[in-house]
Amino acid sequence: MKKIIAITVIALVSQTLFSQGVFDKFEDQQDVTSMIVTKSMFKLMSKIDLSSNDPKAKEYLNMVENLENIKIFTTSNSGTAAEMKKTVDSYLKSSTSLSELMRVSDDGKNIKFYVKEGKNDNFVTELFMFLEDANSKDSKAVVMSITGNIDLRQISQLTADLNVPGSEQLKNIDKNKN
Amino acid sequence: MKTAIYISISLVLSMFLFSACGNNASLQKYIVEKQNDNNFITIDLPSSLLLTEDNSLNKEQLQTVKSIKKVNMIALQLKDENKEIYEIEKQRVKSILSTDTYETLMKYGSNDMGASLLFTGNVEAIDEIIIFASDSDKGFGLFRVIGEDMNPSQIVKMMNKVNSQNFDLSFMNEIGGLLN
Repeated sequence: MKKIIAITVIALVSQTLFSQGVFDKFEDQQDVTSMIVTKSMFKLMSKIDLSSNDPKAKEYLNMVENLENIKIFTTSNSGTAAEMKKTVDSYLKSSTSLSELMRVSDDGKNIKFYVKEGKNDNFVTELFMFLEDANSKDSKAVVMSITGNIDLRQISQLTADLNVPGSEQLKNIDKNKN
Repeated sequence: MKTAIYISISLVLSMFLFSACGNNASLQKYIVEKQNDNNFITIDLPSSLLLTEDNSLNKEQLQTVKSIKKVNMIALQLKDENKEIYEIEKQRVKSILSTDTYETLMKYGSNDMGASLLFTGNVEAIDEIIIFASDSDKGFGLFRVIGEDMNPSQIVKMMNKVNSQNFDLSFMNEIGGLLN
């Protein structure tokens, strides 16, 4: 009986801890620039529909409405960057459903993209990116996580809008897939 | 055995109590409290004062303006002598905004700057929009738009009509003057 209670309490507590997200600890850290956009914001954005006649804009808004959240953490500090790498490694290990989508190495920059499978080939439930660039002054490491019902065919547009590194390369996802 | 059950029950209960307490410390109360505090700059502006008499807004746009009740601003300017107050008050505002009442739309944070955009209500009928920004050199500011069922789409449409002919924007200069 006691055990059951203990387990329930632990389960409750750990659940609230997990729902915070493994990377949220970086949010309040020194030398970290964070950007978080929530589900309500996407819902709100999709409500502000100004160019409703453009089918492309409509498709885009439709994808935006189905996003859960976007988190981007950037650091200029190499110590924090190393810590980020550690967290990323353990995150990738803990979640077997994340598979590598692509890897880009460019001028000392290392970008890796991971996805969690969605309802079909074109959709994923999470797009995860980790960038390392030891030579960069401002962004030695960047972690980005986008969750929701993500249409890979639209995502490069979104990352380009958000000015995320690697969005150039993401434009080719579509072609790679087909 | 029994005590274990009591402990877990009281744990769960206290969780609920904590969240209930959080709701009581509302932003409204906080702002009212700070209205007489010399450390703070506060501005309270009913939206009806903003409309000029000879505005060219149509009925729908006027309706949108009416859905906005008032605009609130409260700011604490950071000076050498109020660093401690700044930290305490910043934490207080942060803890009020972290309650379930307020839903975060966006958050940005860097070394010395932070900004967040929050709201209450639902996405098609917003009751309150809050912008909270802080800068470790300058201080913090809280900007709040209070209304009733504000429709974001209508408001964005109306934004095109925001000019000096339709709205009396002289309060902007006042705010600028207060901050400098």
